[in-house]
Amino acid sequence: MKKLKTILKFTLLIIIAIIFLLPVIYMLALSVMQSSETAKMLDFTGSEFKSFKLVPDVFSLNQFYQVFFRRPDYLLKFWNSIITTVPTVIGQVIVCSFAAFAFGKLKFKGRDKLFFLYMILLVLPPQVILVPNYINLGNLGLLNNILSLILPGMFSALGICLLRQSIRYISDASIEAARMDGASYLHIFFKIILPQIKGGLMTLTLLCFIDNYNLVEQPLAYLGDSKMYPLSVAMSEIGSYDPGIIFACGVMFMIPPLMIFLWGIRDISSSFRGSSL
Amino acid sequence: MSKFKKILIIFGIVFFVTLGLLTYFSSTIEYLLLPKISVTTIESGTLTEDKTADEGVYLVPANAVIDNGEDASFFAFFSEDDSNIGYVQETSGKILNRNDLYYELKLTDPTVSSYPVVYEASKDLSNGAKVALEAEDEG
Repeated sequence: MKKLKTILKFTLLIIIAIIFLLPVIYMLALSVMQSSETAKMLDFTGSEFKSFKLVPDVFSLNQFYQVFFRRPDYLLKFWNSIITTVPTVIGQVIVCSFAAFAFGKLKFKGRDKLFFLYMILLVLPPQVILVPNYINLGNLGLLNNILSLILPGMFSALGICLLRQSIRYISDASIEAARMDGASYLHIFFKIILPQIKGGLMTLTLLCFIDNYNLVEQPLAYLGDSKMYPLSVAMSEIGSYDPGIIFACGVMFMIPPLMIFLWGIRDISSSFRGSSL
Repeated sequence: MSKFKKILIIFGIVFFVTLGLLTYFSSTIEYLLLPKISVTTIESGTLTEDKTADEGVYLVPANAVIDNGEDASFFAFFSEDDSNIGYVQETSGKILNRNDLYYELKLTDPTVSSYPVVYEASKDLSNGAKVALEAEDEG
């Protein structure tokens, strides 16, 4: 009976895993098909049933050849994505870790009320603050500038909430002991807090990277020049006129976040367990 | 640092350096891979000495023309920014007369006559193909 339960459990888990992995597997499969084959599979104009195919008729790397050698605009857009995302992630991790330390461990008047107000931002969908941000960025003269994507992205209520949760697991006694030994708050932050919230930082890095890497509305709203658009915007447009290339672009686009995930896989899985001295 | 992380770093470096180099040299690579074309301009005219050309009748060099029997087609070169990188558009016309050097064609779209015509290409061309202009004759 126990064995049957285990088999059922694993079968269910395998099915769920396949469902989650299917879009990625499908993208990889379509990226090595010929453009004509991909276009045929994605042509739904005749409203006829399309066969679900994971094995190409003819294995072809032509889509990758097109992306890497014949269409430099996609490479430039890939770098646009990296150039806007990396500073945002660095900025957000710095801002959120300092803010989370203040909200989690420092005692000052109105701390919890201020945190509550900040948390309201969590429930607001990003589209709501798109127009206020647009007006502010316009007043700052930052429209049509990559800073219009980087600066608003550096401040995240979710990041602060996530890191505050990790910081709260750290015992107050260790901080008080450090204070008695004459350590400054900055010293405590770098020597005691940061080493213990590695998992939270890694999780925040990954979430923030994915969040900002996949921006579509913000670049469309804040950037007037289509040459500055990241690949996430370009990919939503490529599909309409060149469906073959979109999958090769997708594979290229997937690699950086996948690398971050693999780098911090252990830290991420332990981020919510907490730690204490 | 674990062996897995070392592999990941090496992969990351190779990935980003490769993409960086491909991006940096993308214009050069793209230019090298594009079909190189030679173009010439076409003019209105006929192959019959005592006859003036009707509207839309042009003399197109024989080496630019793809003869399909009664009709013929050729590629016209367009460049959006007046650079030597552009696109070709296949244009057709009815054959009125011909000799060894020229075809007398009644063009279906006479507006393309203002664009240079491809008479030599390093690779087979298709309609809408991106090309690089290598030589331009005045016609």
